[in-house]
Amino acid sequence: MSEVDPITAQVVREYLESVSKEMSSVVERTAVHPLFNECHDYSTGVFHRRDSVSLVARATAIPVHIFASLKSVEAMLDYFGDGLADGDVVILNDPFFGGTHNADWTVMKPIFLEGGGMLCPAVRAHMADSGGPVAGNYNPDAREVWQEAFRIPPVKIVEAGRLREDVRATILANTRIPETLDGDLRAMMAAVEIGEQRIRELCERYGDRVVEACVDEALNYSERRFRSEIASWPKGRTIGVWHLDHDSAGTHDIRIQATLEVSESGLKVDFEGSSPQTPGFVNSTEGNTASWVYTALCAALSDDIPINSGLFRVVDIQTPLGSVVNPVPPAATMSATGRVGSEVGLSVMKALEQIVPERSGNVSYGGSLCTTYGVDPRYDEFFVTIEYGSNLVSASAAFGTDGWGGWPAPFSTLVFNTIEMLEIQFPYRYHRYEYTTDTAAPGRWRGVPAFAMEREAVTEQYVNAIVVGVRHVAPGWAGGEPGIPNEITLATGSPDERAVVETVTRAPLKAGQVMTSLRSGGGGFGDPLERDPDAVRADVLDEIYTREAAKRAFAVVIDPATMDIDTEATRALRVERRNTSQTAIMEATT
Amino acid sequence: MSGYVIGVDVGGTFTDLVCVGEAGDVLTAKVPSTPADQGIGVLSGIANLADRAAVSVEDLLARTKMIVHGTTVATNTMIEWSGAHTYLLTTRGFRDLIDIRRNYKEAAFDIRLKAPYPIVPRRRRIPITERITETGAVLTPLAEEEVRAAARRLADEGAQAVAICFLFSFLAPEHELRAREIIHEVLPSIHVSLSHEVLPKIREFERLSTTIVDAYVTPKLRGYLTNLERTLAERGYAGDFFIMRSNGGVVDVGRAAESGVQLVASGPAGGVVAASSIGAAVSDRNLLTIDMGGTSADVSLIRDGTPSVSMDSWFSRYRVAVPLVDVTSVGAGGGSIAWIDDGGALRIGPASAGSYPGPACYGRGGTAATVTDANLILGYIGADSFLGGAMALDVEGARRALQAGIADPLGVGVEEAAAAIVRIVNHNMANALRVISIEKGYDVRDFSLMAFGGGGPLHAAALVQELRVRRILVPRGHASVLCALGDVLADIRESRSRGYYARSETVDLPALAQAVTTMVDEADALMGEQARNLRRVVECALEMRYKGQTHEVAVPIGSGLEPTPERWAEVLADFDRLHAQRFSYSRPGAEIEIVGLQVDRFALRAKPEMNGLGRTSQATATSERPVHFPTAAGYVPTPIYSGVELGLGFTARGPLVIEEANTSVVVMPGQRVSLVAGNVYIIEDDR
Repeated sequence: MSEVDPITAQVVREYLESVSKEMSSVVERTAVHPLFNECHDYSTGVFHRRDSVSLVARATAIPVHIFASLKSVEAMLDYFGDGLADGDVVILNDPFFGGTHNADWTVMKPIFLEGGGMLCPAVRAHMADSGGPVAGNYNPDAREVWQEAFRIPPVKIVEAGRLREDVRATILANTRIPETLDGDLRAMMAAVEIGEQRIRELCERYGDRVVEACVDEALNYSERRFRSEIASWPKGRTIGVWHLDHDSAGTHDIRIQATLEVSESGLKVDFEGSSPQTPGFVNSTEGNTASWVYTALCAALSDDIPINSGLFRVVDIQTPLGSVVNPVPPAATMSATGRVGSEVGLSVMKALEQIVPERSGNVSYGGSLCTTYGVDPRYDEFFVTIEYGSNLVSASAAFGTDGWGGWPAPFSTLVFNTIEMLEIQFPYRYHRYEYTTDTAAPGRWRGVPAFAMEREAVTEQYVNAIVVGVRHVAPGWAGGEPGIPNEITLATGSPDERAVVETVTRAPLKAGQVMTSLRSGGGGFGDPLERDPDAVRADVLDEIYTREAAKRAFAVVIDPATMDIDTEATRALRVERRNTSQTAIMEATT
Repeated sequence: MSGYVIGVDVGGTFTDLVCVGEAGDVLTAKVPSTPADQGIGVLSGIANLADRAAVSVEDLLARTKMIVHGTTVATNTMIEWSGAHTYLLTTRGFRDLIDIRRNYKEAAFDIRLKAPYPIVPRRRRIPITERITETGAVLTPLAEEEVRAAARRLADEGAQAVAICFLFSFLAPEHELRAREIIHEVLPSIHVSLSHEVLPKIREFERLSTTIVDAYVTPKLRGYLTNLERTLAERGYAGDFFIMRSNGGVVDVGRAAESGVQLVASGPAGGVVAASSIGAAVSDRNLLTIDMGGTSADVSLIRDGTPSVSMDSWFSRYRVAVPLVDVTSVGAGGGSIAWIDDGGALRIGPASAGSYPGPACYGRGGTAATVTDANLILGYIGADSFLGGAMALDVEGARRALQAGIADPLGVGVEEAAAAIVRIVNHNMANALRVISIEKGYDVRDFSLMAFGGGGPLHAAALVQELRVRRILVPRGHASVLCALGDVLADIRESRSRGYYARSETVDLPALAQAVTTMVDEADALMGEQARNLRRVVECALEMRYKGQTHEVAVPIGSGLEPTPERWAEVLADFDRLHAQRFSYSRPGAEIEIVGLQVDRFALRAKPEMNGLGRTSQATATSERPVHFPTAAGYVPTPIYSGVELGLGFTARGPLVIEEANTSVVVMPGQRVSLVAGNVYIIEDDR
C-alpha cells in the first residue's frame, strides 16, 4: 500500500467522520418512530474491509450499536462471500449473525474498491417491533431466540440497485406496525445511500488506493492515541466482578468477572469465571460483550480519541464459549443490550477502578425496562413503546463532578421524549417526573438524586416491566457510596396495587390506574467526609438532602435557623467519624 | 434632514459601523468594542463616522433617519452568566426538567462532563399545583394561594426576574396569565417571562429552557437599550432606533426590549442577511456563507435568497428554541492555535491567541503558531499591508513559531507546516458546510460560497476544490463590516409561531385557516408605527410531518390558507414534495400531522443604493510577492492589487491577491476574478 502524507490521512479521516454525521442526520430527520427521532436510538458508521473488517469512523450515538455493527459487516461478508456487488443493500438483525438482540437491525451498503478492498456505510437502529410473541420484543418468557422476534440473517433488501419487494413484504408481514417499520427502514436506506455518495466522491478525488492508505492511518492514529493514554497506567492484573440480579427466568446473581491485564503490548480482558449462559433472555453475544468493554474503556479515556478499530486492536477480549458473555444458539438475548451488557461494563470499570481510580465511574444502564402497549382510542390505533423516561437511570458521580442529568454519558445520546409529546402520542398522563430528596448517593462528589415517575393510564393498557439493581445496587466509586435500589409499582394507591418483583409481563393497568417508579441515581465518588461543606449546604438548600441527611452522610452540621454551616461542629464531627472508621479498619485488620 | 441610515454591529473585539446616505455615499468605521457598556463604543463609532463626514456628532445624528443596531448584550450575558437573579414557577411534579434536559449531554463518553451553569438552581424552582391536559382542558385549577406565597418569597429574596412554565400552557394560557397577575400584584415591576408568550409550542423542555433564558437576559438587555436610546436622544437623535434580532429581522427598540432571548444571535444574523441581499444582487440565491474572524469561523446556509432560520439551537448549553439565523461555529479563526496531539495529528484550536498577545507575527510576545501566522508565511497576508499597513507583521516570528510548534514535530519544513495548517482549517470548514447542507437535504454543488470577515476571503478560493461549489463571492469594500451592513439592509420582521395539532384526514379547515389569519393580525399589531408606511408581506407556513415523526417540515402556504379541499390537497402535495427533497423519500397518501403554525410578517425597507468606490477597470497590480498555492508546486510570484483602486468591470486571472480593508481576497492559479455590479468579487474556475 502506498505511503500517504499524514495531512491527507487526517483530512480523509475527518471526512469519513463527517460522512457518519451526515448519515446520522438523514436518519434522525427521516425515520418515523419516536425511538429514532426523539430518542436517537440508532447509530451510523463507516467500515472497511481488506484483510479484516474495521470500523473507520462513527457518528456520536449509542456505543452498543456501533461496535456491534462491526460484527454485522463481518457476518454479511462471511455469509455472501463473493456474492456481493455494488448496488446491493444488506440488512440483518439476527443476534447470532453479527447482532446483539433482534430489535436492533443493521443496514449496510458495500462499496467495492479497486484491488478488492471495500468500504461500507452502515446504520444500526432499534426497531420498535420486530414480530414475535410480545409487542416490542422484550419477552421475559423467551428461552430461545425464536421466542423473541423474527430472525433476519444477512439478506439483500436491494440487489443491483433494485428494491427486492419480496424481501420487503416478508419483513413487513412480521411486524405489528408495518407502516412505521417501513418508514424507519427507508430512513436507514436513505442514510447509507448518502454515505455511499460521499464515499464515492472521496474516492474519485483521491483514488481508491490513497483512501485505503488513509483508512490505515486513521486506525493507526487512534491506536497511537490509545497507547499513549495507557502508557502511564500501572502495569499488572486486576479483577473486577459484578452481578446481575436475575434473568427473569429464575436464575439469580449472575456473575460477570473481568480480569484486566495492562501490559506493554496493550490490554487484555478475560471473562473466564463468568456464569454460564442462562435460560433467560439476558445472554450477551460476543459483539454485545465487546461493545460494553469498549464502552467502559471509552468512558475512562479522554473524550476526543476517534473511536475506531485502531483502538480495538490494542484490546484483546476473551469470552468463554457457552458463557453468559458469549452464548451459543439458541440462547435468548433480547434484554442483553442493557443487562448483562451493563454488568459487563461495570465489571470492566470495577477492574479499571483499581488501576486508575480517578478515571472510574458509572457505565451502567441500570437494566430496568418498561414497555407499554394497548389501543389508543383517540386514534383507534395500536401503540407500543419503550418509554425511556420511566427507565431513567443513574448518572453516577465521577472525579471532579457530581452526577447530573439522566443517563450516564455513554447513553446520553439517547434523548427522552417530552411529557407533552408523549401525552399526545400515547394515552399517558404524568403526575410526577422529578428528583427525590435524600436519595443521591453520597461521596466527595455525589450521584444524581433518584428519579421518581408517576404515570396514569388514561385508558386500559398493558405493561411489561423488569426491575434489577435491587440485590446489586448501582455501585459507588473510589470510596463513594452506592445508589438506592430501583422500584416499580403498578396500580399504586388502588386495591390492585402491586410492586413489580423482578419481572411482569402483560400486566394490565385499568383506566385511571397509576404506575410509579423510583430509579437509582447511581453511585457517589470518593469519601463523603471529603465533600466540600459548602457543596453540602447548597444541596440542602436545593432540597437534594435534608439537614439530617447532610449530617448523617457527610458529617456537615447546618444551623436550622440561619441555614449556615456550623463550622466548629462540622470539624468536630468529621474528626470523630474519621477516628471511628479508622478504628473499624484497625479492628478489622487485627 | 437628509436620510442617513446607520448600521452598528458590536462584536467581541470591534464595533463596526456602516453609514449609507441617500445619494448612495457609504462611510464605514471600525472602533474597539467596550464590553462593560457597549453604548460607549457605539457612540465613539458614531463620532468616528462624523469625523469622516466632517460634521459634528449632533449634525450627523440630526441627518440620520434610522439607526439599526446588532448587539451582543444578550449573548454576553449568557457567556458571562451576568443576568438577572431568576426564579421559576412550574407545574408541581416537574421541578427538575431543566436539569434532566431530556438527558442530553454534549460529550457522549465523558463521564466527567460537568453540569451546565444553573441559571435557576433547584431552590429557586417553585412547584405550583395546577394541570392542563393535552386537549387544553383544565384538569387541576391553579392554586392561586401557592402563587401568592411564591410572590411574597420572591419579594423577600430580591428576585429580579421570574420564568413561568406550565405544562400545555401553549394550548391554554390562562394559568400562566393569572400567575403573572398575582405576581405583579405583589411585585408590580418584576420582569416575568411566560412560556406561552416566549414560545407557544409543544415540548415542555424546549419551552422551559427558552423561557428561563428569556427571563435571565431580558432585564439587563432592556436596561442597556433604554440607556442607549436615552443617550442618543440627548445628543439630539430623533430618528428611528431599530434592533437586529436573531431571526435576521429588525424591530423597534421598545419591542426588542420585551424579549431578550430573541437577541442571543443578534450579531451574526446581520452578516447572513447582508450576504443574502448581496447574493441576490448578482442572482446567486443559493449561498453558503463563511464568516471567519479572530476566534472562530461561522458558516450558514441561504436557500432561495432566504437565510436558513432554525429553532434547533443550543446557546451556552441552554436550549433556545426561538428562530435563530442558523449559524454554526466551526472553531477555527485567525487566532486559533495549531498544535500536535499525542497521536501525531495536527489540530487547530479551540485555544486562541486572542487579540493579545495575538498570533506570533503580531510581535507582542505570542509564541504559539496560529492560522494567521500560516497565512502570512504562505503570502496570503502581506507583512506590510495588514490593517491597511497600520501594523507591520513579523514574518520571522511566525516562522519561528511554526518551526517549533508544528514543523519540527511533524518533521517537515515551515512552508509545508503552514500549508498543512491552512489545509486542515479549510477541511474543517468544508466538512461543516457539507453537514449543514445535508441536514436540510441540499447538495453543496447547487450553492455559491460567500466569504467575509477578516479571514473568509483568504480561505474561500481553496474551498472550491473541496466542495465544488459553483463560485465564490466576496463583498467588496464591506467584507470586514458585513454584519453592520446587514443591519442597514434588514427588513422589519415579526415571527410568530404556535402549536396547533390536527391530522390531515380529520382537520377542520376553516378553523385552521382562521388560526392562521389570527396570527397574521397579531403580528401586524406588534409591528408598530414605522411599519405602517412600508410595503408589507406575510409568509405563513404549517409545520407538518408524517404521523409519528417528530421532526417537522415547514410547508409554506403563502399569505394564508384558503379552506377548500382543493387547496388542502395542494398543501399536502407540497408537504410530500418538500419531504422528499429534504429527506429523499415521501409517502404520498400517508396520514399527515399538523403540529404548529408559523407566520413571518415583513415590512420591507427600501434598500439603499450604494455607490461603487473604485476607480478603474484597468487597474494594474501595485506590487508582487511570492504566494504559496496548494495546486502549484510551492511559491509563485503573484501580483498584488489594491482593492480601492479597482472599478466595476475589473477582471484578472489568478494567481493574484487583492488587498481589502482588513482582509485579502486570494485567487488561485486556474481561477479568474471579476468585480461586478453590486460591488462583488466573483471568483470562478477559469476554463
